[in-house]
Amino acid sequence: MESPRVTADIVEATEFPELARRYNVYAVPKIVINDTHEFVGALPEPHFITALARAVIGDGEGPLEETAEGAAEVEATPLDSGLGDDDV
Amino acid sequence: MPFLNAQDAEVIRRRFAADLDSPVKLLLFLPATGGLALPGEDWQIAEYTRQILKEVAELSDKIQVEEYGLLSHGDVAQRYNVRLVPAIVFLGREDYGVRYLGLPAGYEFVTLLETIIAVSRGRGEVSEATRSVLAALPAAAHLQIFVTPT
Repeated sequence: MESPRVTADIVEATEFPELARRYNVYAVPKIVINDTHEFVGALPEPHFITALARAVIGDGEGPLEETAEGAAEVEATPLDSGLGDDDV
Repeated sequence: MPFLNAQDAEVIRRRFAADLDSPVKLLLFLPATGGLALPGEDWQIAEYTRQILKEVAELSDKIQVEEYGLLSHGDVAQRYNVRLVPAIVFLGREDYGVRYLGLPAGYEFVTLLETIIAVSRGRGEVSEATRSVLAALPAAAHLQIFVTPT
């Protein structure tokens, strides 16, 4: 919304297992950028936008790997927790 | 049985009245065949999604839902780059490139509501610092955000 260059698919991982498998989604939220960069957990906004910018620019260090470990604010939920008791 | 109880519906109705700006069109892409699930298609999930969108759209005259079949409206699906169903395309004053794949229930129901409001307003809740980074992006970024309803 803030940039015409950024588009977003929100994917319900359990309903699209082939996509979840392709991107190795074992915990949510997992964010994949341009098929090449990824991180797990809800990053604080400044970290998120930094990760996004690095993915777009290509920092020459290969895929970005920021994980829940070491980031206090990050909350990642194992994908298989609570499956089957979705309150629809 | 309705998805929303009367109390929740009223809260959302008031939130929409306060926060919606431009009209929002939700394009719902459904499996190809009514009731007959093809491999890889879950008609029940699509049906729940349709029910949720219907109830949400009833809470504001600024929200409109249009339904399309992935195959029967292949041209529309292609135009909006939809390949998997159920899929929701959010259109505000323009197509901001936001899609939801799957059933927006449980915790993700909030995501649905907040996305509708953001698309209606044409802007998100981000800081000026984030805006300036976005303005300077040299190339396109496509995000896939994997979530679960719990």
